[in-house]
Amino acid sequence: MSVLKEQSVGSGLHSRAGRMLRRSPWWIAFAFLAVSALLWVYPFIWMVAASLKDSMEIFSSGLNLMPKVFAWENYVRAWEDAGFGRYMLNTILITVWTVIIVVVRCALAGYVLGRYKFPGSRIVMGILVATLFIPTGYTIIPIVKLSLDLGLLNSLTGMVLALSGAANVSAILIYAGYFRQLPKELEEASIVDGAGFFRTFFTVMLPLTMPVTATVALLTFLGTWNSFFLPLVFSFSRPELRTLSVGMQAFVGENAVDWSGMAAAGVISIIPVVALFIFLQKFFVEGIAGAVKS
Amino acid sequence: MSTTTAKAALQGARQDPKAGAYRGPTRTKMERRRNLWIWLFLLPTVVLYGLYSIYPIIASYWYSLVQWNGFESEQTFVGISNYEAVLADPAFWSSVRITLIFMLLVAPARILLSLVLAVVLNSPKLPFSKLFRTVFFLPVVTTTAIVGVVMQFIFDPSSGPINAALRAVGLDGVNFLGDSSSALFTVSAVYVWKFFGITMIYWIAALQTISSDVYEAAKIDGAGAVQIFRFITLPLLKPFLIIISLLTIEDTFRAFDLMLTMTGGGPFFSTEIIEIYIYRWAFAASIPQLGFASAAAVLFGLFVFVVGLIQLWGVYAARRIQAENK
Amino acid sequence: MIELNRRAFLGAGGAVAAAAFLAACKPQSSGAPAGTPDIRWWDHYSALQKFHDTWAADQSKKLGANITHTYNDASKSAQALQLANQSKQLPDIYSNTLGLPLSALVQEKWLSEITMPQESQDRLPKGSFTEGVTNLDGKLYGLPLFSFRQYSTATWFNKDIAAKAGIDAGSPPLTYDEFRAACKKVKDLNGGFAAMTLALGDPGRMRDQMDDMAQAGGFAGYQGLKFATGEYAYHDDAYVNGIEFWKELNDSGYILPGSSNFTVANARTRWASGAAAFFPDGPWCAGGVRNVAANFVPMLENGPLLKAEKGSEVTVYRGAPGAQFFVAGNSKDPALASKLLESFTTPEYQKGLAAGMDQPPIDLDVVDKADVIDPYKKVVSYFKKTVYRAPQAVVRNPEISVAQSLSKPVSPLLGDIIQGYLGGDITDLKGALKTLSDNFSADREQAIKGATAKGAKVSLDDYAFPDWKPGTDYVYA
Repeated sequence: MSVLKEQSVGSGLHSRAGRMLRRSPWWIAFAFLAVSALLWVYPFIWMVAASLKDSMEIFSSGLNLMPKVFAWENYVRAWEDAGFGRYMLNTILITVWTVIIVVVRCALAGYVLGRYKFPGSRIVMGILVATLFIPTGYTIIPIVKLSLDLGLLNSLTGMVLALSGAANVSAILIYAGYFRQLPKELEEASIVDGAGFFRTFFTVMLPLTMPVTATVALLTFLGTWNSFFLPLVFSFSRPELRTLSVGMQAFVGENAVDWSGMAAAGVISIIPVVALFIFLQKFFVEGIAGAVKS
Repeated sequence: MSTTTAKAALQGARQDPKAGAYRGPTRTKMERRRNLWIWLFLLPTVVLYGLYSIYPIIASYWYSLVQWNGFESEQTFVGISNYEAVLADPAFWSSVRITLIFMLLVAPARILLSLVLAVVLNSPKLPFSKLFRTVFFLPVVTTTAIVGVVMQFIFDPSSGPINAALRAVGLDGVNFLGDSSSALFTVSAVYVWKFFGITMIYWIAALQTISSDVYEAAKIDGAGAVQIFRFITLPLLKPFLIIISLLTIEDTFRAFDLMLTMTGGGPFFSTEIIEIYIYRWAFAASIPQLGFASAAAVLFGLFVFVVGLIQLWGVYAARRIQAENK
Repeated sequence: MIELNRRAFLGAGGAVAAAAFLAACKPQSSGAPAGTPDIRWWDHYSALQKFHDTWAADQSKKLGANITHTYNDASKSAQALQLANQSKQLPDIYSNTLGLPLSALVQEKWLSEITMPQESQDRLPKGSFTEGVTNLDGKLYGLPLFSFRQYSTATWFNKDIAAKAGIDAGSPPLTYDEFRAACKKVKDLNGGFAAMTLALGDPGRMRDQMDDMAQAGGFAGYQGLKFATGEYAYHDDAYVNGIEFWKELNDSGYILPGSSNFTVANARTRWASGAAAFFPDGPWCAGGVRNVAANFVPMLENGPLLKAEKGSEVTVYRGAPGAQFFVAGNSKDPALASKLLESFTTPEYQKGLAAGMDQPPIDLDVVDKADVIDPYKKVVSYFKKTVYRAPQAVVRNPEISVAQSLSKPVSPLLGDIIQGYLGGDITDLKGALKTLSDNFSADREQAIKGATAKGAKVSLDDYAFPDWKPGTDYVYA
């Protein structure tokens, strides 16, 4: 987990002036990066500024970011009239449940696939790997039809099941790979202690997987929070089930030109996950870095 | 989801045929009991994955052989005529072409630009490198569909800030998203902006696997920064280059959210990637053509599958290089 | 055993737990009023949103039932209805965005019969109900709401800018030449606004508007189909001229930059913010503007649909009033739903409908007495004078609807071609239009073949009306 720790600075320099001189290219790089970084976050700054402007002012303000009057009512409009309060709740519910289901089912499957050879293990593994690359546009039609038949189409439950059932092969494989490299003495000791299969998994193996669980949970979280196609199709006929992504898209359709309301809705939708990111930054970065670590 | 799936390419490659050689002390009864547990553990995956991933693949093949408009219960078997119709549709080939162009535009940009940035950010001498890392990563955590909508306004030709800036410096405004010659480039740029951070983190992780001792030794030998990069960093990064390229390329097949919310495939189909093409016929047509759309989807699935196979092969190659390096 | 329970909970049980939890959360997350509604009502009329909300509340009291009204964006509602129908969740009454023939809808159990006393039906003007369009086998299935006498391309303009440019609001441009000259005047002002804007980003609307322009330019047919011969002729000069005219306006820099990806509402709001002088739009422009920018309403003014040349008359043809509202096939209480639809025929509703300034009500005379602005009255007066009844194959031979239901979508459509030609992606306009005509002809042929195979008595002749005369309401022999 310490892969990303800053490298120690090798300092072989003696004088302060010398250090400044040697470092000056880094200050140039710094200046360049600072400008780029500003441009990089400009869309967010613009969005926050726009969310506070009067809905007609926004068309004429050009580059001016500062609103003439702070129009906080945009937030009220987005939260209450446009229903983003409910969309937020839907999104949180869907994300939390999907992450839980994916982590549990992938850890269980990864454990047995990674550590045991059993009749059918090769077939299961083969099917999983063969279906690794399924683009979303590919399976959406049957998923809709299936959910219809199960009576789950217009429900959050249906959305959660579809999201947590579709294509999480990678998570299983990550778990399998991780469990495989744990020493087998762990289990043997546990069995000697009289623990069964289930308790061995739960008390001995699972606690060891925290780093992997963090990666899987995080990637699933990002994927679900961002998911758009599936919730879009699942909430066509039930606007009250929209997620933030779908709600934003619908908002554009219904209020084509309420830019400031839209910006406010965007801020509302993005703030929680950005805040989460800033607090748990290390987690995020290492979770993603986990993909190339080997 | 995209990274997760792509990432599995790596893990899948790690599949060891001798995997899980662990066996219990006594046979039969214990083994049967153990197998029961194993299948219980697999049950949630078998059920959910079976229903929502395996079944839909099989069903897509069936749907692609029928004529079905979705709301009439009637499904008429029409053989391969849907495939013939898809393959004869110039708009399908146009969407294939656009998907490929999009891939060629964004993948190198993401991979190479982020490498440069990662090398700079990875240097301990750079002030505030952590802050920069946060900033460049920020778009990754924002919701794609929302970014798509907001970007429509950022690029708006009459009131958007980018055109305001262009006019302020005396240039003509550009209709970034409304002009079919620039729309695909604009979406590509936004896509790179949005997902750049992931690739950057991959690179930083890769760079940090290189021990600082190596650099120290090179410095003592009198190597300059450029030389160090050329002769030490780059060769060590080679296996990562393959893996990261693969992860990134696989990602580019999932641009549906951004495309639908930013351009909807327009203007005049100029940003219609295959997923939008499928969506258009399956959900947005006045009379949905689910059979036809399924045929297009199956073809797309095969296309991605082939790219996936090439990637897996690439991962094996990368592993081999890595093994040799060790 | 305890272990097993825990496993069950954590394994497959996780899904069950999720389901249970989500089910428990549903009432609170949907925010619906206590109890399920007796009647769910969906429509896509944005300008009527508030009016329909109040009407639902009033009728709830009157009928002693819980009626909930939901507005659905037009572009999404067809998809929503499809999914709702398949999952047997259609709202009890819904507006028609399906684009399917009535007989197919009835056959596939989308609809219940609307039971309505004759006297209520008689409150609507004569000729409101048409076999094959609103009725089938004498039974009423779809309630017509709007007049067929309307078009989507009145020349709306901003009075303030017109005055600055020296354009007399009393005599707005009527021909292509006059419009071109007016645009030039506005452009020469360099006043920080464009001469005009169009919803070029919405191919559906452009298709509608070009159909209007073509008719006003002399095309004796509708949606590419010639009345007299029943052949597809999108490559007719009237279409080519109309599109070339827009292309010329575009290339002269008269159209507000960015219009190429404006949706209708977007274009209208930009126009209402003073960004352009002219905006071709339907009568609903009045209601739409009042919703988004009430203070712009005094600036509203309009002229009729443009004609290609001086001296000719604008003539527009439309089919019988369409079915606007349906009762769902799966409605638990079709009688109650019918009662709600019956309330739509009352003078109070019709008045409210007119006051919404969306599409004009089926009885155009209501508009004069309704609480509407003068430009709306004006645009409706054009409709009264220049819009005539077009002949329709399905009205003369209801079996045509079998063929209609076998029709497959054609792509690219007229709107896409316009977008492509204005944007420079298509260079051979006439060729593209010819292909469009051919595609429609080919699709119709396969549909007729399929319908014949199903036993329907249909032929290409059903589409030809040799006895059609221009400038009159078509009367079936």
